Amino acid sequence: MIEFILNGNLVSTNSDATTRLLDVLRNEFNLTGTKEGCGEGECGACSVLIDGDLVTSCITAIGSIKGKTVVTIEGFRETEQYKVLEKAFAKAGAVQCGFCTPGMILAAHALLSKKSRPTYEDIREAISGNLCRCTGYNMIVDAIMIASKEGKGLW
Amino acid sequence: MVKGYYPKTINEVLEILSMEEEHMLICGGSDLMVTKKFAQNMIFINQIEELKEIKEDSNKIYIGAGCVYKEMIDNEIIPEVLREAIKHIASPAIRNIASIGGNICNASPAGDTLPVLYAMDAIIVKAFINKDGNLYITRVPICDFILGVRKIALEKNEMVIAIEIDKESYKNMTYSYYKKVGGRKSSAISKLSFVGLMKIENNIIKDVKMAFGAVGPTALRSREGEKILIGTKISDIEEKKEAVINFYDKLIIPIDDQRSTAKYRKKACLNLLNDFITYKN
Amino acid sequence: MKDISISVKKKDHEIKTSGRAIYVADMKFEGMFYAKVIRSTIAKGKIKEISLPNIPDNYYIIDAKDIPGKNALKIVESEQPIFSEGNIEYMGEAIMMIVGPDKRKIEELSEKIKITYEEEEPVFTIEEAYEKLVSYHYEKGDYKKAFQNADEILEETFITGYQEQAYIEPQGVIGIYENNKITIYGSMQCPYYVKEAVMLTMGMDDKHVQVIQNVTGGGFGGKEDYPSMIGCQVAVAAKKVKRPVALILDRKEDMLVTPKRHPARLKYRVALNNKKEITAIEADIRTNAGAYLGLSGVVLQRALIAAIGVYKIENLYVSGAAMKTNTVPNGAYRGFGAPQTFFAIEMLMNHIGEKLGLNPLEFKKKYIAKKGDTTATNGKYHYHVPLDEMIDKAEKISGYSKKYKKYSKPQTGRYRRGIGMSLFLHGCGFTGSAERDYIKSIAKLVKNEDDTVEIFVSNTDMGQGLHTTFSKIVANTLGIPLEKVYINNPDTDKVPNSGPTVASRSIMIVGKLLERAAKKMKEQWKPHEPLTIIEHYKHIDLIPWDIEKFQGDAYPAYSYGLNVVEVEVDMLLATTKLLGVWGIFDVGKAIDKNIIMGQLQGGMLQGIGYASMEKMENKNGQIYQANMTDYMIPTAKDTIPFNIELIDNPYEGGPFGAKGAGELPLVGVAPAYVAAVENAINKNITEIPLTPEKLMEKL
Repeated sequence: MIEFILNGNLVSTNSDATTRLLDVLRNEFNLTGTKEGCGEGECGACSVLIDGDLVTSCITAIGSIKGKTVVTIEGFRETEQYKVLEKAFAKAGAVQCGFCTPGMILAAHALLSKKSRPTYEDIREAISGNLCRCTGYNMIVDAIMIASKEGKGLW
Repeated sequence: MVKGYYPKTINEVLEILSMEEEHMLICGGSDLMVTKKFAQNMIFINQIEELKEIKEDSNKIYIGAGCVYKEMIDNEIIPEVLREAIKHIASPAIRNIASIGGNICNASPAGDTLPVLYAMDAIIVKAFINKDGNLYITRVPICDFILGVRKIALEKNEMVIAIEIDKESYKNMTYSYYKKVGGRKSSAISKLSFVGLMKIENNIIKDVKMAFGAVGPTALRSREGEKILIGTKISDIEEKKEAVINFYDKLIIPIDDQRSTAKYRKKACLNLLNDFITYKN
Repeated sequence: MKDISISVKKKDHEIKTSGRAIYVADMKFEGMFYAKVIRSTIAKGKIKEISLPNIPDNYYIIDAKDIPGKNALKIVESEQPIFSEGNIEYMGEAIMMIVGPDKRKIEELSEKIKITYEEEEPVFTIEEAYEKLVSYHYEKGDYKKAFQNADEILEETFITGYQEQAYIEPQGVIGIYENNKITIYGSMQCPYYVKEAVMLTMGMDDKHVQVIQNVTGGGFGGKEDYPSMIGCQVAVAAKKVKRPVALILDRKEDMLVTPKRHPARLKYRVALNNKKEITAIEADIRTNAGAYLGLSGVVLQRALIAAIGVYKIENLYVSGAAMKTNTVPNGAYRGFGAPQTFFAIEMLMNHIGEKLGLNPLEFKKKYIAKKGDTTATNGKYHYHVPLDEMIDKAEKISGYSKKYKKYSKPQTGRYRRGIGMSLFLHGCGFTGSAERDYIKSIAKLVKNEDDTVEIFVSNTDMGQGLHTTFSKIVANTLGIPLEKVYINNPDTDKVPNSGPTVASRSIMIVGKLLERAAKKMKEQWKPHEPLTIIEHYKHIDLIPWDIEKFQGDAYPAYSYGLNVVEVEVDMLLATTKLLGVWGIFDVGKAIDKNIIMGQLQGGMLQGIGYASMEKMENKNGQIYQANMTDYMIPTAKDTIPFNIELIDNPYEGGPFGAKGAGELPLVGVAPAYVAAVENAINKNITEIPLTPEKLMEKL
């Protein structure tokens, strides 16, 4: 049995230690906001936060998060930071098909948590592992910049 | 059913490794989880603090094998050229979990830390417990540790615990040069990479170290090639250049694959080599 | 009333951002089974023998024998089998499917299936291909005479590669069989295409097939026809096993077997008179169709119609063929044949201009079509062609001509700069009179007692914002708040067939129906009384389209675009860096500024990918770059802020003056990008993608 903290709650799973965190989240906890786009850590649609760091859950074995803290979009959307990001993404028109969006939001939060006033270059770097085919990224970059300005004190 | 082990110390890992069953170490898992080739017993080593140490003494630096890239990028103990290489590996999310020990033990031809570690003559520190229960530490140069594509010199009861780098191998260099060429600016596996370290004293090349990545089964470094340059006056580099380039032209035998062509890889390598050796001119 | 272009929060913004949106892979049904398709491992031949392992209880093999109706996929024609009956035309062709409760067990079983084949000689490339799946040709004026009298004849051949749609959500469907009725859920662009295909395969009537679109994670054309294939496959399985059956492709399978943009070879011949003016053009366009016709015929039509781009050339001979190869069938991808042709014609015009010692733009200007001019197919530019203003604007914001002149001077050093411009158009909607003759769109508006209004159409939102733009059209026409108008993902049991979500037609055609319906609703509006308005397509009569001869108005209207790209080339590594990207577009009227910007930004970056890094090869019949690691789409670090401006040029046939916008931004980027590289290195280039490997050969 592997225990970990999921969105603030202590949970456990009996899955094989090499089961992908992504599968545990989606199948056992029904947290379908975490998406599978490529299955090899390349697209970032399955991004979650582990101990505050952005991680692609499709190449994370459940065994490696024993005792750690996992936050998915379902947990993060209850926060004040989420509200700021959600608004900023709307303002900038940063959401199209939405499949990359939860991962993008978490990538943005991971960045802002470390650097609350990032440069445009920082933002591009921070989301460089989150592929988006719809927007061409610029409107997402703008959204994160807006959030960093609007979210004073939150990060 | 795969059995997971969660040791907290290097000793615990070595004890598990000394058992008979088939087992495999997994740190971040960023390579293993893609290939999905697991053993019956998986030993998770990503939460062993001892493996995350980065320290230095007056002669060398010591990097725990379990250090993930994120922890290395901003650590000033780590040589700048290695940090530069790490910055260009994969994406932020991968750099949060992928370890240097994993990159070495995965022994991919395109492993991005490898050419840098080759250029700096890094030493791989291994440990094992023998039948009597005694702990042994051995050291092997990286070029002897990596034997070929995904082949390493590691016994069943051994683990890599650290990487040591002699400060002499990178400090006091006049300049260092690193270039990764990937298909895009992030999240790219190298088409090729080049690292060069140059030490010039009194206008004479005192030492030079050069290595190429992704153009052969392992990182490519040749002391013989470097010797052509050592002792050369800066003003004579133009004359020596041809010999060096011809030497590496014969040495580098890349392949065509889904990411690039042999022709391109060779040309780009030689262009970078040329740029590196004439950098200060 | 506020200007409709002012951006609003998108209707689906919150569910998508919060992770609440339900995509097909997020759905679970009681007792649901999973499916895996067993595919051919050879490119051409016959199946000799299939040896199956013991199939445990609760696991099933589904194959051609289980198909109750016709074993044929309905696209344009119905020639592709749902499951092979022994004949193999490409590697990856579906032979059978394993269905059961546990994915790992399915995987285990599938590895034990052994299939032997009698192999035949396959063909893979346009060069090797000998069978034309379809071919067309048309002419204008007297091209023969023009070539006979030519002072000089120029020839050039252009090559364009595959492009993978690379939507981030892989394809997937779920089939359910209950009470003698099939219901299909899935990620798709065209629910009625899926419905019609399933009806044919299942031998079921209209009443017994229902298709419901899930939130769809990008399509770009890739989810136009293929959902019909997997929809039929799960329908067959669901009926046999009497349980919901899910088929969700993983990325590799998606990249190996779903349709892509056609690789093409475009041969041009140009006749110049003694004043060095173009008097005639001959073009022959060959596309690699793959193993089955699918959409290749209609893609080729668009490629051929675009043969002379935005120019007016009096004498033409244009021919083309979709060549059969033993490779994965190609299909729709944003632009639908036009990006290939625009690459060729724009580069050709640049090369002729430069050969004559001119700035390519100056050369092109002499040939740009104007209102009233005839098109390549003897149709007419009925409306204002705003390219001249667009050029003026582009010069102002990008400094194109000044920079072109500067960069044309000999450059030295490691880094060299160049700038390129392209001019293009995109015909909006289906070709000719297909809207009137085949699609016959119907849209429905229902007003409820609480005075909310629901939109019923079959068009899908796959990220392009259709739920929002349709709602805005209705709300603004009715003069009610946007919150009072809503729209759900289409369910064919509820929505009329307003046609597929393709060809940049949704806003212009279906949006217009909704605008008209809303006008009628407004006239009849009585508070708190229910009201339903059904609106049918009305054809705007232009010059009738003759598909046999390729004569007449090919499209009701055109959207226009201009791109400028400025690059820096690293001569050591043959890599490029974007310095500037500009786009000027005429989409009539933007229904929502943010949404249009999103389309333009995203489309342009796909175009840059197409031109530069998105290399896909077919090696011995199999896609060689079949994952997101090896097939490179741009990341956030591979792009820069784009400078985009819109031209206001409302079109009377579209709602609030809107024309098609979805495909346009991808169409012209490649020639602008490649022209910029040419300008930097002073060499001609005729092939995309222009990878560093290709570019290095030129340096």
